[in-house]
Order: sequence, then C-alpha cells, then structure tokens
Amino acid sequence: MHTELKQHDLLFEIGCEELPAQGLAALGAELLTKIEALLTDHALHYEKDRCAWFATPRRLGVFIAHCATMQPEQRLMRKGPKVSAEGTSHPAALGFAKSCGVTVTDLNVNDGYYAYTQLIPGKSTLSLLPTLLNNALSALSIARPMRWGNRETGFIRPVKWVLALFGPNMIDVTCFGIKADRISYGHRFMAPQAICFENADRENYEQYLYDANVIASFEKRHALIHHQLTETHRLNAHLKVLIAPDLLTEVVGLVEWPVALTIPFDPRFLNLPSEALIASMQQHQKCFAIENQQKQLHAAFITISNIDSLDPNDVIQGNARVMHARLSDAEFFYELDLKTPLADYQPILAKMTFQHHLGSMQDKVEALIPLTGFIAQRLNADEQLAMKAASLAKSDLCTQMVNEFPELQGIMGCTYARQQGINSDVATALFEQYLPKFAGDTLPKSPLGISLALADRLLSLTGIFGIGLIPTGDKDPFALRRAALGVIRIILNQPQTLALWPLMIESVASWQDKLTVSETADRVMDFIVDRLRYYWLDHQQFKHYSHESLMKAIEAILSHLKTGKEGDLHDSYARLNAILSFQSSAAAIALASAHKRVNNLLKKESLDTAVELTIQADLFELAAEHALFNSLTNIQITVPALLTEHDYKNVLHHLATLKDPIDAFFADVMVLVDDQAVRHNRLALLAQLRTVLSTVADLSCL
Amino acid sequence: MLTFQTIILRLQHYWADQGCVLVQPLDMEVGAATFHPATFLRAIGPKPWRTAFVQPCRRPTDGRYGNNPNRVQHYYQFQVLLKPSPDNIVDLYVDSLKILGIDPLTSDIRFVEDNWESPTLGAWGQGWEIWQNGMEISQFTYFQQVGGLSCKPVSGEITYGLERLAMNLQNVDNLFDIVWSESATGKVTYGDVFHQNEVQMSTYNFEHANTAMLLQQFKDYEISCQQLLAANLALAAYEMVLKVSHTFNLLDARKAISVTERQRYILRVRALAKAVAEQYAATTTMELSL
Repeated sequence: MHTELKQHDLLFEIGCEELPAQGLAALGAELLTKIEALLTDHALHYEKDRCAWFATPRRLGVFIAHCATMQPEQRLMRKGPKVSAEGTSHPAALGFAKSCGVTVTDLNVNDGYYAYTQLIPGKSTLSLLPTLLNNALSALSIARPMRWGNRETGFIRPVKWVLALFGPNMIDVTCFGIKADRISYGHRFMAPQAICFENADRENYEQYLYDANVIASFEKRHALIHHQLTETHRLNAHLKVLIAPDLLTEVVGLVEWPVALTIPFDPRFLNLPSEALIASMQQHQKCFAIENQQKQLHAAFITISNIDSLDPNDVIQGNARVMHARLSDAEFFYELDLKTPLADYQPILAKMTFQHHLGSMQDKVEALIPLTGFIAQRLNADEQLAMKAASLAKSDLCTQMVNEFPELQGIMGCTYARQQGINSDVATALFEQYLPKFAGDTLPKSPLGISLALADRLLSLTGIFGIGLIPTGDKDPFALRRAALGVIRIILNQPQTLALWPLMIESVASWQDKLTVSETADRVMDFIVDRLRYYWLDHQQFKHYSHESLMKAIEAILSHLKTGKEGDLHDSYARLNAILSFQSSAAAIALASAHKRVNNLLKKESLDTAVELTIQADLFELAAEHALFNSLTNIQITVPALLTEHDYKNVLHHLATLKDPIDAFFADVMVLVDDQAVRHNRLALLAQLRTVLSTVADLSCL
Repeated sequence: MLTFQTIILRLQHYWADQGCVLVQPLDMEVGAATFHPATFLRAIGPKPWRTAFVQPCRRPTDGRYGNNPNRVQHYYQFQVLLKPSPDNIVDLYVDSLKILGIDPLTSDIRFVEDNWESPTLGAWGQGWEIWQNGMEISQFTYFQQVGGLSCKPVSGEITYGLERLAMNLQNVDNLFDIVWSESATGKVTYGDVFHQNEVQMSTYNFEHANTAMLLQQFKDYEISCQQLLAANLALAAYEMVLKVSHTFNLLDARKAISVTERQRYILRVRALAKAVAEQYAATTTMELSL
C-alpha cells in the first residue's frame, strides 16, 4: 500500500496586467470565498481558519490549507419497485437490478421495497480543481469585464500567468487561455524574472514574492503604508497626516512595494481654501495631505511610490512638479470664481435642471426662499437673512471649483460668500445646508444653517413625491431616504420644538402649481415616519434594549405621531423614552393586554370609534364599574397638566394605577349583556378607558 | 537632453520598428487622436492594423491664456493603435519609455485604472492612465466598443501626452519652457512656437467665438453628415462628425449650451458617429468578403 498524503495545501495565483485599485481587496476576498464555497459543494474538506487571500496590482491569490486530496466515498441509496408475490422473477425487479448493474439477489429489501446501495468512489481533488478554479473565476462579481486581443470572454484585466499548485503537484488548468504553471513573477520593474515554486506553501509564497519586491498580502501592505505615513510625520512632532480611509485603501491597491516620500509644495497655495487643496491632493494625485496642530495645512504632501527608486529625487521632483500644476489649476479656478458675485449666477442656475418636471435649479431656489424664511421664523432666527442664504444656496454649483470637485459644494459657496463680504451667518448657512452628508456626519448648528438644510431636504422630498417619483427598492436617485433621515436628525438635534406638519404644508405650497400628486404632504410624512423607525431601531442610545421590545415601543409611539396634527418629533422622542422605561413593568404588561382586550371588544361591537357614547354612572351595577370609572375620572383630572409638560413618565405612572381597577373590572363584569343600555354603558366606559390608555402611545402595540 | 522633436522622432522610429504604419496627422480640428480615422474607423471590423502618428489636438475649454504651466487648449498626442492588441503590449509600451531614457527603476511608473469613455464617439474601453512620478504621461486603452459597435478583435490604444512627457524628460516646470529644438538658429522653446497662440486662441475660444455662427454651423454640419450618409459616403460623413464635434467644443467653451441642453447636443454628435461607424463597418465587411 502506498502512502499518499490525505491532504494538501492549495496555492492559486492569477497574474494580470495592473488591476483596478478600487475594489481590489473585495475581489481578492471574493475569490477565496468562491473557491471555498465550491470546495464545500464538492465535499472537499479543508482548514478554513488557515486559508488566506492575496491581492496586489498584478495578482489575485488564494491559499487553501490542508485540503482533502480525495472526495469521500458516497453511498447512494436507490429505491426500487415493491416486492411482489412473484418474487425475484418479477419483471420490475429484474429491470431494477439490471439498471443497477447487479442481479436481483444482490438487492436489499427495505420496508417491502427493493433497494440497492451504490458506492460511488470519490474523485481526486486534482482532477476536480481545473473546473472548480475556472468556475470560481467566472463567478467573481466584475461589473465591467473587458476583452483583449482576439479573446471572446473577458476578465477584469488581461491575464498574464497562472500559478496553480496542489501540494507539490501542478494543477492542469487553463484560465483565459493561459496554461497554469508553477511560476509567478515579482515586481514589474524591480524583479521581473520568473519565480518557481516547488510546493503550495504559503510561507514560501509570501517570502519569495517579498524577496522579489512584492508584498502579496493586502492587509500587510495596508499596515505598512499606514505605518510609513505615521512614521513620516514623526519628523515633525507637531504635524499630522490626514489619512482618509478610502484613499489609503486605494493606494494599497496601487502598489506592490510601497515607499513613502514627503514632498513640499509652494506655500503660496496655502491661501487657497484647504478643502480645495486636499481634494486636489487626494483625488487627482492620490496623495496624503498634512496639517499642523492648528488644523492648518502644511505645505507638503506624502506620496506612496511603488519603487525603491535608484534616485528618489527624481520621483520627488516629478511629483512636486505635478502638484504645482494641479494647485495652479485650483488657483486659476479660485481666482476666476472670485470675480463673479454669487448672486450673479441666477441666469446659469435657470439653465441648470433640478428635475425635468420641477424645473431648473433657479426654480428650486425660488421655492427655497419662502420655505427657508418660514422655518427661520419658527426658530426665531432672522427671516431676511435666511431668505438671503436661500437665494444664494445653489450659486456655487456654477463655479469652476465645484465643477472640478463636486463634493466641494457648499464649502466653496461659504468661502466665496466670505470673500465677497456677504454676512457671515449667511456664509455659514451656505456650508451647513448640506449637513449631514452621511450617517454619523455633523449636523448644522446655526439657526440659518438649520433652516436652509431643512428647507432644501423638505423641498426635494415634497417635490419628488409630488410628481409621483417615489423611491422604490434600491432606486432612490434623489437620495430621498438620506434627505428624510437628515430632516429627522436635524430636527431632533436642535433644542426647539419644530413641528413637521406645518413645514410640510408650507413646503408643498412653495412648489406652487408644480406638484401633480394629491396628499403629497401625507405621503412624505409617512415616508419620514418610516425612516424614523429605522433611525431609532439603529440608534446607539437604545442599544441596550432588545430589538423586539424596542420595535414594539417604536410602533406604539409612531402610530401616535402619524395620527397627531403636529408631527412633533421631540414629543415622540420623549414618549418613546417614557415607554421604554415603563415597558418591562408588570403594570405595562397588564395595561397592554387590557388595551388589546378593549380593542377587541369594541371592534366586535363595531364601536371602533368611541364617539357618541356617553357614560351614565347611574347605569353601573357593580362596584368594579364604579371603581374603574372613578380611577379614569381622577386620571383625567391630573394628566392634562403633565401632558403639557411632556412628562410622559409620570403620565404612565398614573396610568399604571389603573391596573387593579381594570383587573377587577374584567374579573367581575360581563360586558356583552343582553340589556342594551347596560351593555352600551359598559362599552362607553371601555371606550373611555381606551382613550386614556392611548394618552402616551398605543399601548396595545407593546 | 531630449528635445521635443527628438522625442517624436524616437517614438516614430520605435513604433515603426514594431510594424506600425506611420500615417500623418489629420488636417482637421480634433479633441484627441482617437478621432483620427486611422484610429476611430480602423478600430472597427476584423482587419488587423497597426499605426502610429502625431496628432495636434484642440480642447477649447482647457485654454488658460498661456498662464497655466500645464494646461493648454492646443497640444500634441503621439498615438499608437495595435489591432489586435498583442499579449506583450504593456512590455512594448514600457520599452518605448526606455528608448526615451525613462528608467523604470528610477522613476515611479504606475498604472492607474482609467476606464475611458467618449460620449460623443459612442466608444469606451478599459485601461490605465500611466503615471511617471505622479504625472500622467500616457493613456492606455483596450477598446471595447467604438461607434456603438463591439470591437472584435480588441485594439490596444496607447496615447502619449507629448508635452507632459517632455516636461518630465527635460525636468522643466512649465510647458512653455520645453525645448522644442536645438536648431541651427539656436534653441527654440515650446513657448517660442506656441505661447502667443495660446493667448490669442484662449481669448478667441472664451470670448470671441461667434456663438450664433457656431450654433448655425452645428446644424449645417449635422444635416450635411446625414446627407453624406444617405449618399453612402461614410468617410466624408465622418469629417462632418469631426466638424460637429469641434463646433460643440467651442460652444461649450463659450458656455453657450446650458447644462440641460448639453446632454442633448452630445447625443446628437453620438448619433452621427454611430451611424457613420455602422455604415463604415458594413462597407468594410463587404470589401473583405469580395
């Protein structure tokens, strides 16, 4: 018997022309996932914890540890015909045996049926791998595969080599027309010669490539570059490198052999807005900006080169020259933009479409002016200045700088406004209108900024809903979900009560006759309430509540918010907090079930609405009725004062006193009696009870 | 030091050695060498083709009145098209840098993803910007579609930005300081040849171009293109596409086209380019089958 190993390691590398840096890590990780999934599908065991993926600009690699060399033997049980009186001579039995390639005597009998257990030998992994690896490659999510040369099928970039080893064995696979070998290549320039691998050995793989100036592991390069960036700034203890995570990830995908270089630029450019400088450095040049302790930019940047240059000065000078040109461009835009007062962009805005049916950006600005004024007035802010801010809100979209760097919208508006001597609160509002830009971003702080930010979002919401373009699934081209979430966060973050309904109605009115859908305000309100649900479900503050109880509490107060006339989110928030702390008490459980019971009774009697029912105390027959009625009456005397103070905890505390009277009532009193007058009186009492129970929230949701 | 003209001569020589036909520049205004029929039209259809040539390019919106060290409204591209793209195309490119004296062990040469798309030509491809020390010196594209037609086989397009290449090679910070030639009458710089042109043409593009005339021309060229297509003259119709395209660029520089209308104008140019490409493809297929 020969001693063939039961497991081997698998090493697979596909060498390409330079892969796109963005998404490189995801692609490497996905290749591993796909191969693992296929191995599992084939019943091939491996050691998941020791598997790894590699990704550099010129390769995607996967290492699978300790993978079985053979599939396990499979037992396949085939069920045959029923055993009949004729026994083994029955034609069905003969036929079945024949189809299994045996005689009837070899069959088993199982529960009165013939059966045959077939042993299917496992296939060797080496024979399965060629198809498996190709299937893994074609399963990768590549948004836009490309073709090259005469090839019909595509990949993310042209494939140059394939390294495929299973233990010491070469895998006989051809990927994209390239036959696999035991060969890889190092750095394109520093170590172009072939590297031969004896074995599928992870340590050797990483070491040989490292010797050939390639750090194969994405994570290791990430850590190294991060280290280089932070180390570089140690030269000057007061300086700090701005490491934008997305930029760092992209740079990791751009280099196999990272070498950091610090390069100065002309300090005269520090007169430009720092955001513009940073955008230039990060986006155009994929470089890192540096700032001092006062958060002012330092006149230098760091580039991560992909070479241990024979003459680093050559790299430094070249980069310095490009940066100078880039910043000169930004300077040109900036100075050109400064020549045009923000107010003069109206004619250009009038030609810029906001939305086909809603009109131009200028149309939006004209709707923005009254709405921003209206909100400012409600916040006791300066209405005139708010309207001024609204009138200039979109002007910077016409500037050269925002054209070049769209993400500088608002930032440039604010900068130009200051430079042009516009009121500083107005300038701040121009910046703050776009806050928050993403979940977790800072919120507008100034009253004018809040007014403009809210007005901008509410107009987008009512405008787009008002022409029937409601976001569905992943289609939300106007980012209305984000807008709704912004509205929620901004309102909740500022201290004043700012009811949503009046804003919504004013917002619809601001669009004048442009909206075509009826009840737009209601639809937008529903949409916002829906976002509010998710916002609170995810909120850090409520993390210690279980998902289920949090969900119930939110439902209980949201139905209240929807039916209310104000749409006061602060009030809902106060109610939610009260409900959450009340929820787990014995009283809460009792009140919730009482509320449900009352709902059911009233529903059964088609008395869903508690109108037109008056309680007549003289029709009470039992002590429990009197007791409940008295308790309700007492509560109705004390509660209104608490409600005006939004002291919902205390209200619930009072409601809790109803527990005993309610229990007694349901224990002693039969509601649906034949005497109609008594019956109606009892229902009236229950309707009253329901109204009281609903004071803070719909307790039946708990 | 390599002069501007030596760079061109070396590239021509190198690519001629790789079997390229050195066709000469197109005598019409184009925004990029891709518009040259030796690229755009030759990339269509099955016939193999290798070419290399210098192409003057005009991008009116890029004018900076000669004040910017790196941006101009008129510049030169060195264009290479290899159809089908050979397996060693990247190596060929790297070798072309070496003959220019660029040492990839000294300079930081990087391949940065750049998926090229020309909305007006209905063309797109995948590839890279090639960076030398952070400066984009070339664009490298595997054409996937041209004029709305799938490229079979795929052409590999290499476009060198000659000025940027020269700036790096001559170690100058300003494009106008590039030494064009050490001529018999002394040193001639890029500025000597083109600075005044930049000043005047920027002024023309941004301030004086007659927009009413250009708008009318846009329409006229468009109609003309359609008529030529009807007459089965795809090559002549293609010249009209180039005229329409440059007219559009001038209107764009004059900000005579609103953001809303802009997209519609681009689509009009593209419709023409696609129609020409389709007719050209049909004719070349016919020729091949004869």
